[in-house]
Amino acid sequence: MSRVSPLKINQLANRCSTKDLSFRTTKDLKPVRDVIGQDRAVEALKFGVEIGSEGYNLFVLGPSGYGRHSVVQNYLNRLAKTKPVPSDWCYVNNFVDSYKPLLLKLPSGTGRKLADDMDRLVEDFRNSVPAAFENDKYRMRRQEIEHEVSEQQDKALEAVKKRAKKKNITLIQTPSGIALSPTKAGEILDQDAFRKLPEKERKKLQKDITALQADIEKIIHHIPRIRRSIQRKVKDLNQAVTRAAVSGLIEDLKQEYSAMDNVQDYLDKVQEDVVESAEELFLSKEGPGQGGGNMPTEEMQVASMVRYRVNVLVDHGETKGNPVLYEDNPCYNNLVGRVEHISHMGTLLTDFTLIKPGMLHLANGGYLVIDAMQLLMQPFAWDSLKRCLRSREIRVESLGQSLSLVSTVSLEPEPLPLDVKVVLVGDRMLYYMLHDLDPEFSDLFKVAVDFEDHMDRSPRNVQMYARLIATLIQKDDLMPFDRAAVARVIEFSSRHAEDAEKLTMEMRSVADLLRESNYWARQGKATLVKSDHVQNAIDQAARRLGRIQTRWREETVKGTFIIETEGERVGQINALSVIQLGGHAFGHPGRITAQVRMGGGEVIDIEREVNLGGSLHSKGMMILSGYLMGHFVADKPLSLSASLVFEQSYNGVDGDSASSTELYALLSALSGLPIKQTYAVTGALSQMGEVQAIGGVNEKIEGFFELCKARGFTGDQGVLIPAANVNHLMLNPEVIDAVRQKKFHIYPISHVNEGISVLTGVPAGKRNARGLFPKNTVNGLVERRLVAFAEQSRAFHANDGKDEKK
Amino acid sequence: MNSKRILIALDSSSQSLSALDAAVEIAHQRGCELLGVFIEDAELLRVTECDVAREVGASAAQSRDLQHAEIESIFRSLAAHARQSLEIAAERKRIPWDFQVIRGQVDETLTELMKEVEVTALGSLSSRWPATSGFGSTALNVLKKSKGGVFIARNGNSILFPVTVVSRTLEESRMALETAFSMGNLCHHYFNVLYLPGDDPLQELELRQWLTQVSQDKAVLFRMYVITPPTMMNLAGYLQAFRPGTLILPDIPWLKKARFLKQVQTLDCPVYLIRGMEEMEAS
Repeated sequence: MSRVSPLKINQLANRCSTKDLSFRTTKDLKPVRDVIGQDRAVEALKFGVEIGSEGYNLFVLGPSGYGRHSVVQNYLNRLAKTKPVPSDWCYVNNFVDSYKPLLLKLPSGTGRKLADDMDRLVEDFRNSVPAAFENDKYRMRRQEIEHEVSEQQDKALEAVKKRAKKKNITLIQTPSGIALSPTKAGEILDQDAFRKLPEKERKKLQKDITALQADIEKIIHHIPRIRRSIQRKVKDLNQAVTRAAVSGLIEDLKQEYSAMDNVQDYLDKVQEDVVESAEELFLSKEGPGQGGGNMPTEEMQVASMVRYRVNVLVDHGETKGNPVLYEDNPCYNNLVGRVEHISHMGTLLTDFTLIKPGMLHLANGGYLVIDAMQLLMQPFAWDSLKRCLRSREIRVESLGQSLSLVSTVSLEPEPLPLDVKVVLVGDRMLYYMLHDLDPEFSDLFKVAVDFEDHMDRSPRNVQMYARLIATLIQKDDLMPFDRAAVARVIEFSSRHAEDAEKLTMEMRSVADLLRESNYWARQGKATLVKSDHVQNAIDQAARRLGRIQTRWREETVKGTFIIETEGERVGQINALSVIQLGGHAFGHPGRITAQVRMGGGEVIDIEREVNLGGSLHSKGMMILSGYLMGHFVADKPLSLSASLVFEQSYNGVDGDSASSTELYALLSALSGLPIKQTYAVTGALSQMGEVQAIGGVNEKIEGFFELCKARGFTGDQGVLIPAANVNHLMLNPEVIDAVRQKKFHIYPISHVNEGISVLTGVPAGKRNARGLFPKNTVNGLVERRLVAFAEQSRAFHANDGKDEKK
Repeated sequence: MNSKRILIALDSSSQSLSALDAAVEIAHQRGCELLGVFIEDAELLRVTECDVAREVGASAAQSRDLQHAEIESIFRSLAAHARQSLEIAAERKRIPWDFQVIRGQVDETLTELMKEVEVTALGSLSSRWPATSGFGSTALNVLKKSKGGVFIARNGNSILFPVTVVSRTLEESRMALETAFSMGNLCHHYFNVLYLPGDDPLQELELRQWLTQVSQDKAVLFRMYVITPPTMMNLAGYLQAFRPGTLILPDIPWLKKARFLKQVQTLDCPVYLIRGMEEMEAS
């Protein structure tokens, strides 16, 4: 295997040359109107919005800060303007069952008009109907009817009186009724006078009194029937008067809504109800209009006539196109609406005018954008949304009602037909979890709008990206950037994407950098933002969050954490890890040591033994063991006992990016060859010995670089990285300068044999035709040691047997 | 005649209590005393002495024997209630009052008592069954026979608006309106004045002028109508048309006529009959 050469300068970062940018400042650039770099997402969005089939709601997935919300809303807003305005929806009283308000669907803008017209109609009722009842003709007719009761009573009683008189019996009023008493010559007979009468006459008088008594009883019994008949007549009269007073007013209104059958029907019902309820609404119990009588108070009237109001639930009078709504608090009530109550004398009252719409109502016929995490965090909101989408209707009911927790009487408004596109916005993990765990999710959200994390850094895309930067600058009203500053931002974008050939689509970080660069430029009293300002912004951001990093480095330089950056050691190597704290990631060198002896063939991962090692780290260790078993003494049992540990690591380790590093330590321990401590190593190992790509390569290199810089460069320090990570390098200028000055070196490693030869300075060695490694190679020394362990182990066990026999 | 007393016939019906309210207002305005009377119907008591007499109850339509003791007990209870009502009403306005319970024939007793008072107030009907429209026999009797003023409450009301005054002369109008004003605060209400013209055409002019003055002084509104010709039926027609809230009548001869009384009864409003001028001068 040929010796590995360190990376050249131009491999350490993909610099953006100002020559590639065809403008002087961002003022020269036209803002971007369309979305860039999200072709897949935009196509999916278009598809999801246009397909009309059921279940094709959208889930926009991608990390936060990638412009998902703004892209979706901008797209929908533009599209919605070209679509027709949906209908207005109103709730009106159900005159048959007031607990079940009815819906009226009206052309957009008509709901408010109808509500106003009905308010005016009610005012007209209040003026015209009482006036009709104050008419003299009505009063006379009513009195005539009411006098029928007394007339019929009088007539009947008069007839009884006459019959009584003929029979010498008189009728006298008592405090509680009528008394019948015998008379003679017009004089009431007392007991003595009665006894003096002949017996025959007495008996006749008794009989006549009994008969007359029965007649009076009949009259009394008949009175309720008479009253009922009179009441009916009065009611008919009142209804006729009311009908005459209101029919003209209602006809006029019906003319205005002649094209709407549902309104016509509703107005007919209003008329019927007004006529039916005239007495309750406009009349006292004692009769109309007599001054000082008990007319229903204005307050009572207004309250009674609420039933004729129109509750405009959804008013699209001002809407242009389809509605596009964003709900940032998607709780249950905000989604499906609610029925409000008014507290009155210790009780809660409600009616159809207190039905309030939710966002589903307001977005009906259009689009509703909801943050998925916010939705899932709200109790019962997710279930209620699914229920509405599944049933294609919105049912306004309280949570208590929907869960059958309350049994008090409440409103059951007619459900509103639902036709809406729901767009959920969330991260990928959430999407996949919902997909796997919620069986209804796939039925209701069939369209995934997957946002790219980054786009290719092609020359064309670089130009577009520059325009995007200009758009962000304009949007935030920042100072213009010169092209060197834009170039630096583009390099930052690649660094953020962790790929020299990509540009990040996480525009939040880019926008923050622009704002902070602008700030530093203003601090320097500049009128144009330059690359220095951008670099300063980057450095200052790192500094703000770099307290832990600085502190660690200080302790390492002091020797609290033992990391050697000079000399060489057997079985010890510098490893690299990345620590993510808040929004800041930094490289953190560590020390791995290995111990070996003869044993049963296990490689002990001390981290795993004490539960500080994660599953990925354990996997890496097993791969390492697999490599050993596959490459050395395949014809003999592995009689090795080895232990590996991250020294001075107390917080847990995961990931397999240090598996190659651990292998180097083990090979060093087995071969007895020391490893140069001037190097730090990172790379994931395969069982074939390939060194595979890892994450955070830039931070890891810079982490070791900072330590070497703090101690003073020796000229031979550097980092071994997987060759597959070379395309991800976007190292900061300081590192590049050090490499240029040959103070620091970075080696791309494809196979452990390359790495071990760099670390030990000894060739790794390849098996010859006889299958043996050359003697003075790393592999040869390792294999010889393993064979020795195997021999020792065999001898040990053989002695064991002999001892037993003895 | 004691011109400083108002007789109020009480039987504890709501009508008689309304009449009591009106009587209290009139007494308060005029500085009169109140004489309340409850008449124990002697005829009824006589009926209870006959074993064969029977009563049919108005509420339950059930017949039973009449018990003398029971009727007396009811009378005592009604009288006590009437007395209490009078006491409360009179004390409210600090009006001197007296109450009598008299056993006798109702109409005759009242007729005797009316001779000694300025005004007699009563309800149009008792609370007894059947409740008919119009005036009861006692009210009709009082209207016909009284020499003094009579106030008849209707339907539980003592005063309703608009007040309609019928007059033949300026003096009658003055008396009528003073009577009306004595019944309460009538500011901002309006009055109908139905004028029956006599031979002197200047009377009408004087009356109009006086009404204008009163309207300003008392903040009330008047509408004056001249009944031409001043006949009973014409007047009855006007009354039917205007539907008075309260009717104030002078002591006109037609009042005794059954036809006119029938028309007045159908108006269903409280009626105040004021005493004529000759009686006033005599007293």
